[in-house]
Amino acid sequence: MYPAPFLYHRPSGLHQALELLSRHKTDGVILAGGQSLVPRMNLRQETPKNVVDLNRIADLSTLAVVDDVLEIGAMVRHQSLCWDAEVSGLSLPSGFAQLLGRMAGAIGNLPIRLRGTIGGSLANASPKAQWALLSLLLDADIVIENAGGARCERYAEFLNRDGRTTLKPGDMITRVKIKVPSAHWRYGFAQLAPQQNRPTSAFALAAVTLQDACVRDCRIAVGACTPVPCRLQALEDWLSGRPASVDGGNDLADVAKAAVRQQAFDLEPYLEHLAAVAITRAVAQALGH
Amino acid sequence: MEDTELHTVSFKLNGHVQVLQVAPRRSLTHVLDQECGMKSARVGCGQGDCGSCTVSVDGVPIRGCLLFAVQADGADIRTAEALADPAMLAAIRKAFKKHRAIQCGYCTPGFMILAEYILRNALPLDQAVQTLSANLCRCTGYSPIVSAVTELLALRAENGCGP
Repeated sequence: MYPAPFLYHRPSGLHQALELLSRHKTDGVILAGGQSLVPRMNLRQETPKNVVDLNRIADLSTLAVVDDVLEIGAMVRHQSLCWDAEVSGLSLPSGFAQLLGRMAGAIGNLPIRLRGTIGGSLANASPKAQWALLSLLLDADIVIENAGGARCERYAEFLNRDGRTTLKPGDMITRVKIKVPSAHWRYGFAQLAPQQNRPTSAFALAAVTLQDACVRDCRIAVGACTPVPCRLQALEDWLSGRPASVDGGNDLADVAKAAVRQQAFDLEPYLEHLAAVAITRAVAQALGH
Repeated sequence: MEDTELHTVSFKLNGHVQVLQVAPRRSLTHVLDQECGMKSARVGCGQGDCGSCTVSVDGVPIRGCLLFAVQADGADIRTAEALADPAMLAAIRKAFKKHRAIQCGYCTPGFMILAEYILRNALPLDQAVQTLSANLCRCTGYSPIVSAVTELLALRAENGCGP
């Protein structure tokens, strides 16, 4: 199984990489972790004439907190966000650091996580990508550069409802910026898959703050079963102000299902059910049940 | 379009430096097998699904079918022929044999690479099982492989360090 022949470029700096991409706009691809691109190339579903390998650009693999904003370089591997050592050096709120680790750990399997990158995942924009769900829920900003300059897009604007991104030929994601949430936020993440390490069927992410044993702020997003991840405004409104002991049973599941239906993706009933189960579990976890 | 350009690649394979000319589209696993004679490097699905191609690159298990050989320039590569430490390799072979963690043997080198990583990092059992679940084995039903690794981990704990 061989990919079609291509010319290989290994830029050592960002500037050189952007130049190469602008020169090969029509027939060039970016090789980041390669865990999605190379399988497609092996099947010749993708036959680029030029491959620009970003793996030797050290500037793209940095992980830092700048002015309360977590900046993740596009070439940071999923596994780097699992390893406590790398995340704990950033003094993030413990709940948030744990969430990053749990979501990263839910991606594929170890060899895949050791190569796959967050930038690649976001550019690939698979509906089953954990980073898409997180970026949507936490309003991540995606920094995109090309030979002409840089721009920054909120994730909700970066990803269209048809599943396509705003990336144009010659563009490269260089960083993801997430405002570090305050330590009050509590999180729940639930992922349903036929078995561990297989592609997920549905996942949900919930973040809440509590005041006087009631839900004050809440954000809930669901994905994988929908063509793009989506926030569930109706459910967020319903949950806000309710006691934290709110029953994780039928009421919540019904409201969750209705909120998913409201998104008008016209899902199969079993997918609606999976979405409701994932949401119920994520919310229950966030509320500490 | 034919392969018009060849790249010079040099990497350390099982402790010995190799310098090769490769076309960029050749995967690391292909090159290890066909150019370097490492018969444990084998491609299964070519999609990153099965894990038969797993080799150790700079100390971590990597899907060799999803890494172009040209990307491995300067890397430290180990295959199942010569995992880090001969004593550990012997122990892994012995445990796999004892627990009958091998049938057709196609997936075995990939599992040995994972087993060596698990032992070197002394992963707790639950993480070890999760790590092993990265690869597919269509013969054994996995539990013999898990038993072999469980025994190796227990031996490691008894001896204080590597078995």
